Amino acid sequence: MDTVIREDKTCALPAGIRFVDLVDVAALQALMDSFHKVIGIANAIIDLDGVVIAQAGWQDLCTRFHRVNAQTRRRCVESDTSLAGSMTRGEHFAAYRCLNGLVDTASPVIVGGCHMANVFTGQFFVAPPELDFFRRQAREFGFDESAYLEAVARVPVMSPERVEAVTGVYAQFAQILAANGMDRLRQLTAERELEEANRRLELRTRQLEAANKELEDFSYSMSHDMRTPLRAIDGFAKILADEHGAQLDAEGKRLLGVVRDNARRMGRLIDDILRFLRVGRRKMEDGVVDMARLARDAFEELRAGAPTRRLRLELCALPPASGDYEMLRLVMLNLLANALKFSPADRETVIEVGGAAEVEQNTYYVRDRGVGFDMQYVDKLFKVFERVHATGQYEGSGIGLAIVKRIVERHGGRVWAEGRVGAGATFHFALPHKGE
Amino acid sequence: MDGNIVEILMIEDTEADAELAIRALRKRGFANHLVWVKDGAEALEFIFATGAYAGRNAENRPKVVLLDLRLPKVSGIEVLRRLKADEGTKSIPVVVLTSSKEEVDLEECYKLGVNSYISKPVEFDEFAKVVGELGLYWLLVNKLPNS
Repeated sequence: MDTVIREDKTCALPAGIRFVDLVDVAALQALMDSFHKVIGIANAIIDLDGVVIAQAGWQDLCTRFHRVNAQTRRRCVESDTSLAGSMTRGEHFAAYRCLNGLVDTASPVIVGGCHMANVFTGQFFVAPPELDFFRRQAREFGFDESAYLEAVARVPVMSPERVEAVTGVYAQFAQILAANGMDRLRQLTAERELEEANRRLELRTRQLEAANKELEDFSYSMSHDMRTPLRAIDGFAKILADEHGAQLDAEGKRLLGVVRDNARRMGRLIDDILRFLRVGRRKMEDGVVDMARLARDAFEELRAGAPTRRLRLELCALPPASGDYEMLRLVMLNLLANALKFSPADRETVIEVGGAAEVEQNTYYVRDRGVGFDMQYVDKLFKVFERVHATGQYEGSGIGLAIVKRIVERHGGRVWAEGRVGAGATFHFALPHKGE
Repeated sequence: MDGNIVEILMIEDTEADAELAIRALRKRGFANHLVWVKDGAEALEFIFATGAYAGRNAENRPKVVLLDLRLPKVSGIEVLRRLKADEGTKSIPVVVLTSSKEEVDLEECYKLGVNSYISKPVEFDEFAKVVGELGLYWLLVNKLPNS
């Protein structure tokens, strides 16, 4: 019952799968113990590499004598090999009288066409033992004769009918093992495929992240490098106007003015792109942010920058947020500036800021009573350089809300807005609680 | 310019930027003793009076160095490091005047002991104002130990 040779050629199992991977070894050992207790003869499950996976009730005759002496042990191996080999002929089981005089039977466990293991039962006699044969063996191999004969006497004698019944049980059991093994194999294969798919996905994600980073770096350095020639365009146009203005007529001066205006506009665009890109590059700190204080501070900053405007902040309860203080300050500042920008300058501007604590996130909003917007353009609001209102009507390049979106999304949150033409706009953002 | 009387050493490889800066300084009357070099290697030769400037008296130190960071041959950071590592030149004020907005550059420059770090504005009026003001500050307002 030990070493056997693997010779199945139709097997197409995934590489590296062993029979022991397909079974619950402890449960199998318990079952083999029970089988032995009920049936009273030895059993074993041995894979084709000779690894014993479970076994019970082996006879002293085998374990203490035949498998100890080198010569008799060679006979055991020879018998096992021949028995296992005979099963590739497609039988459900095979029986064999071993060279040391005992009978073994074996049933193959075939998983997905692969002969992976054998269920053995054996180490019994089918007729009362011929004691002379065993006395000769004891002398031949130097066994203690009385101990050896006592071991022989403990070997069960089974009728051919009972052998057939017992072997039938083990053969059915081998088939059940095979079916379970197949299920387990499918499960393992599915798990492996899933792991492989995940691995590919992770790799692809890393590649995309790297490509994205490269693109951002490129945008960053390109934007950066454009500033130098732009400074020259603006600078030399200015010098031309200052030092050679006398030689230019009114139209010439106007044209020069257009050049300068556009150079400056491009300068602001580039600075906006750089601001936007920097939001993505900056390392994020993590902390608890007092959003009410942050809103008041941002409002004061806004007020200081717009001394000609009458401004009022209506601050409702604001739950604290977890995130990067500086970045969340930029969110609030941009939303407040946006509210101010789209509110009429000829009367008091009222900006309402509020929020709510929810189970998985906190939500915040900034509401104005300004010009509002048409909801059909809501998707354009948060995109870089997209504007809902015509250029020239309101100052700015339209980067502010894109920065808001970027920061909130880096925090794992989301932004949305609602508005109506002439009836103001409300910008919302949600930030997940820390660790989610 | 023989380089023996020098108030401002401008290290700038972009000719247009250099010309704009020189004009802005000249308008305020600060460009009379200005030396302009175009790369970091030449800047070091000038400061330490070696190579092409071997005949110069290194004791005549500029009152201020205007340093661009992205330079051919020896980088602006390296020029700053060499200047601040030398006992004879470490007290020369260095103003980094760069188009770089990278925070790493900023931190590195301050670690090395830069005296001021200015990002060049794109708009010329702003640029001229900044350059003019730094000329005023470092040439007239600021006092150096040996002057």
